[in-house]
Amino acid sequence: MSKQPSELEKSALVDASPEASKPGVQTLRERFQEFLQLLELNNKVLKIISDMEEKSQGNYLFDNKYILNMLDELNDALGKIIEIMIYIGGDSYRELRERFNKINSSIDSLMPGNQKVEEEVFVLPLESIGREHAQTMGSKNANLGEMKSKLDIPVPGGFGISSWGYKRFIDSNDLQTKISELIKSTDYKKNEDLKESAEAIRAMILNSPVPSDLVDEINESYHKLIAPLEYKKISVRSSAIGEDTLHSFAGQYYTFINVSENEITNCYRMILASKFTPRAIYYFLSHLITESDLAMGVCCQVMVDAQASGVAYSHNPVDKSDDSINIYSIYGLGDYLNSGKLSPDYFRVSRKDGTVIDRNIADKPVRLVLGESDGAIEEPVPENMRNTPSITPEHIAQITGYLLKLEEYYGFQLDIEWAVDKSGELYLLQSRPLHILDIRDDLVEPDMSSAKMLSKRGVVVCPGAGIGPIYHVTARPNEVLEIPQGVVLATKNPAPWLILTMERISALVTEVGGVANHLATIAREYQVPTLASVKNVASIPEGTIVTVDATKAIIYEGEYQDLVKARETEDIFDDVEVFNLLERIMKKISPLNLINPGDPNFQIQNCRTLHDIMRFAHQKAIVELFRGERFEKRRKWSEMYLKTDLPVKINILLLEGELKKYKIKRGISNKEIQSVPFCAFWKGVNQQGWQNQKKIVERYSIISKIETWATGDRESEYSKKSFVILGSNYMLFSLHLGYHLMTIESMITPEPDKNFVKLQHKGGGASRERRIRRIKLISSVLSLMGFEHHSSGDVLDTTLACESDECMIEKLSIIGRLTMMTKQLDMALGNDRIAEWHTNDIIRQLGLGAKES
Amino acid sequence: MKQTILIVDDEPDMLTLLSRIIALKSSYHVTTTINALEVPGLLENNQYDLIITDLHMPGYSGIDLLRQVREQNRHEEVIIITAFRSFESVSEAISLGAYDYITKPFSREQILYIIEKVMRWQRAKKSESEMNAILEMKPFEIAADAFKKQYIHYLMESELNDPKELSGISGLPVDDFISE
Repeated sequence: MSKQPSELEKSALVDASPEASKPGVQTLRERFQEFLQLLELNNKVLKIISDMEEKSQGNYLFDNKYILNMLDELNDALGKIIEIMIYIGGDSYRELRERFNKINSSIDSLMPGNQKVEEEVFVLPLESIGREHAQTMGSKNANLGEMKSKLDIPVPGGFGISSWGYKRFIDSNDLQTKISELIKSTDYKKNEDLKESAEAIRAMILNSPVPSDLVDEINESYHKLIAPLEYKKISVRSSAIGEDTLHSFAGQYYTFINVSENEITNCYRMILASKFTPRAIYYFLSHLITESDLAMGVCCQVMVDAQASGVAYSHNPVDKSDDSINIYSIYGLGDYLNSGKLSPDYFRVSRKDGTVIDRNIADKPVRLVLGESDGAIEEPVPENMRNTPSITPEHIAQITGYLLKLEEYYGFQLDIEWAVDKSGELYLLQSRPLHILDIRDDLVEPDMSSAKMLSKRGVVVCPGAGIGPIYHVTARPNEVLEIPQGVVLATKNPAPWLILTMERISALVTEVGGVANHLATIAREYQVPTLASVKNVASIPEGTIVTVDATKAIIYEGEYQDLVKARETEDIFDDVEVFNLLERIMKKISPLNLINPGDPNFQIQNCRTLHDIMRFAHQKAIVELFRGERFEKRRKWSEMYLKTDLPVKINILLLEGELKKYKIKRGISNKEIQSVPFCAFWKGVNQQGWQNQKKIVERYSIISKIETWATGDRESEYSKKSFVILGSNYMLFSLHLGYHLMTIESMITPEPDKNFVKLQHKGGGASRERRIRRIKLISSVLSLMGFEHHSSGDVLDTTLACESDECMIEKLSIIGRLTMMTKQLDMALGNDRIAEWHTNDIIRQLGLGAKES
Repeated sequence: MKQTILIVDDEPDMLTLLSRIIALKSSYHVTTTINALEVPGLLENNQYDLIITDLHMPGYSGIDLLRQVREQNRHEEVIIITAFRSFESVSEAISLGAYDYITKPFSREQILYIIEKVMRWQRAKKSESEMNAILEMKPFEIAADAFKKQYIHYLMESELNDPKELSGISGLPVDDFISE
C-alpha cells in the first residue's frame, strides 16, 4: 500500500501517477500557469515602455491623456506581476509592492495638477533672486534676478512676490473652491456664458482682501526700493511660473506701469484676476483647477522713464539660417511696440563684428510717456524726430553685447526687452528663450513619381532621409573605421555593434528587426534614418547610390536632396510641456539599473524604476517557482528523464499537458514531448549530435538539481544538474555540458509579442582567456540572428524577443546545433586567429553567411 | 491667396504642436482656439478651407461643429481628432460628413499627409467651381474677360513673379501682369 503523501508532498510537484490528481498536488501546475501569465505581462510592460520611448522622440503628437492611459496600463500590468510574485514567492515580496508604490508616487507628483506651490518667503529683492527661483518667483523674476546678480547687466531695481504669497491670498479667501464651484454650477452653451463667468470670477477676486502679513511685506519692500529715488512709481507685472498654461492663452499682457504705493495691492489682485479669461474658464471645464494653475509670481520694479524702448533677438526669429542680431526700437515706452500699434525702427546687426548690416527707419508719429499721476499718456513725436533713428549706435552696440553675453551664459537663443531712460542709461527689462521657427513659403514635399523605387516596404525605426552608396555588411568588421563615411549601411540584423557606426553612416537598413530593440533607440537618439524588415535589401547591388526615405519606408535609386531636406526633423517640441513631462516621467520608468541577477545588489530596495521592478520580478519568479519547502522530496514524484543517445542525463519536469500516460521513473523520448521550444532546440541538438560519447553519471534527483540551481549554486562539478522544465509553449533548460552551464529560457506562441529566447552561458574547463573567446564566438553568431547582448567577460547573457513562432523555432534549432558545436570548444581556442577561424567555420556550417575578409 | 486652417482642441499643447508642424511644413494660414464655444462666432465671420477639431470638448463637440458646417452648407472640410477606441463617435462623425479622422497619438507625417489630401481636394473643388461660374457667364466677352483674369491670377501664383517672364510664356501683354 503506498504511503499517503505528506502535507509537504501535497504542495509539491506534478506527477504521472493517479495520486497526482489529488487536491494540493496540482499547486505547482497552477503556479506555473501564473508564471506564464507573468511572462506575458512582462512582455506587455516592455511593449508599453517601448511605445512611450518612441513617443518621446519628437515625431508623434500626443496629449496628457496618452500619458495617463499608458501609466494606467503599466500600473495594471505591474500590479498583477507583483501579485503573482507574492503568490508564488510568498510574503517577502510584499516589499516589492511598497517599492512599486514609492516609484509610482514619485511619478504621480510629476503629473500636472499634483504639483504643489513651493513654500518660500512672500517677497525677495531682485538681487537675491536667481534661476533657481523660477518655480517660486516665476521666470521673469528669475531671469531679471540672474542678470542683475550674476551677470552684471543693468536691470532696474525691484522685488519679486512669490507664488507662496499668492497662495496665501487664494487660501485666505478660499478662492480656489469658490471659483471651482462657480464654474461647475454654470451650464455653458455659448461664449457669452464664459464671458459672464470670467467677469464674475474677476469681480470675486478684486473684492477679496489681500492678507495683512502679505501687504506688510510688499509695502516694506516697496519703501526700501524707492527710498533713494526721486521718482516713486513702479511697474507691476506678472511673472509666470513654469509653462503657465493659462498665460499662454490669456491674450493680454499683465503689466501695470507708473503705479503708486496705494495702488500696488490692487494691481496685484488685478494680475491674478486677468488670468480668468473666457478661454481659461473653458479650459477649466475639462481640467481640474489646481494650485499650480493659479500660482503666479509678480515682479515690481522702479519705472524707467524711457526715451526709447524696444525688443531685440539674438537670432532672426523666423529664419534659422540668419544668425544676425535683430533690434526693434520706438520712442517712449515699449507698449506700442508690443501691442503692434506702431511700426518700429529695425536694425540687423552682425554678431561677428557688431556692424549694422541693414536697417529700416520707420515713421514714428507718436510715443507713450509716463503720465503725471499714473499710467501713461500718448503724445506726438516732434516732426524732426519722426523719421530719425530712435536709438544710438552706442546703444545698438550695448544691446548686441548683452545679447551675446546672455546667449553664451544660457546656451540658447534669447529675446529681450530693453529701455533707455532720459539720461541715456540702457536697462534690460526682460529676457526669454527664443523659439525660432523656420516658416516655409512653399510646400516642401518633392515629386517622387518618376523616381525608381528599389524597395517600398519596411518598418520605420527612425524617420528622415539619407543618401549614399549601398554598403553591405554581413558581420562585424575588425574595425568600424573600415566602413566608409556617408554610406547607406545594409545588413541582415540589428546587431548591437551597429551602434558604433551611427556617426559614420547616412542611413541604415536591416533585413530583420523592429522598433523596440536597443539599436532602434540609439538610431533615434542619433537621428540616423533607419528602416528594418526590408526583405530585399541584400539584392541591391553594392555601391548603388540610393536615397532612403525612412519616413515612408521607400528606397529610391539615385540622389534626391530635396527629399532629404523635406524629411529634416525640426526639434520644435522642446519647449512644449507635454513632451517635457513625458521625458521626466520616462526617467522613472525606463532606465534599467538591476542588470546582473548574480550581483549582491540585485535587491528590491535597489529598484529605482518600473523597468527595474519588472526585471527583478522576472528573474525571481523563475527561482521562486521551485524554491524550498515547495519541493517534493520524494523521488517517486519526480523521476522522469529524457531518453537520448547523447551522453548526458537530463531530468524533465512537465508542468502542462497530459501526464497520466507517464509513469514515474520513466524515460521519455523527445518525440513524446509536446513543448514547442524544446522540440525546436532538441532538433538542432540531435542534428549536430555529440562527437565524444562519454556518458555522464547522474547521481541526483531533479529536485535537488533544481534546488541547487535555484539557490544560485551553479558552480558545479562535472555534470550534476541538467534539467528541463517544460510547458506546451515554454521551456527552461539548464544544461550542463562539460564544465560549462547553459540556461535557455524560451516562450514560443503564435503571438510574436509574447515570444522570447533568453540564453545565459558561463563556465568552461579552459583558461579564462579561452572561455572569453568562446563567449565572443557565440556572441558573434547570435548577433547574426538578431540577439541583443548583456554579456561581460566569460558570462554570456543574450535575448531575442517579439519574433514570429516560425522564426523563433528556426533560431532555437540553430542554437541547439550551436550548443553542440561549442560545448568544449574553449579548449581549442588558443589564440584569436584560431577563434576567428572557428567563428567563420561555425557561421558557414550554420548557413548564416560568410564573414568578409 | 493662402489656404486657411482652423484648429480647435481643448488641450493647449496639442494646439501648439499642430500649429508648429503646419507652419514648418506648409504655407497654410492657421487659426487656433482652445475654446470650442468661440467656433460659431469664428465661422460666422470667417471662411476656412479645413477645420481640424478634437471630438470631445465641453459644451460644443466635434460632432456639433460638423452639424453646423453641414447644416449651413459650408464648404469647409473637417478632420476629427479622436482618442483611441472612440469607434462609435468616429462612425457618427464620418456619417455626418467628416473628411477623415486621426487617432491620438499620431505622427507628424500622418497629420501632414491628411492635411495635404484635403487641401488638394479643396483646390480642385475651387478651380472647378470657378471654371463653372465662368462657363455660365454671358455673353462670351464677359466670360473671356473673367477667364483671362483667372488665368493671370493663376500664373502669378506660380514661382515666376517677373511680369516680363510671365508675359513671355503666356503671350499676354506685360501691362496685364503689372496692373494685377
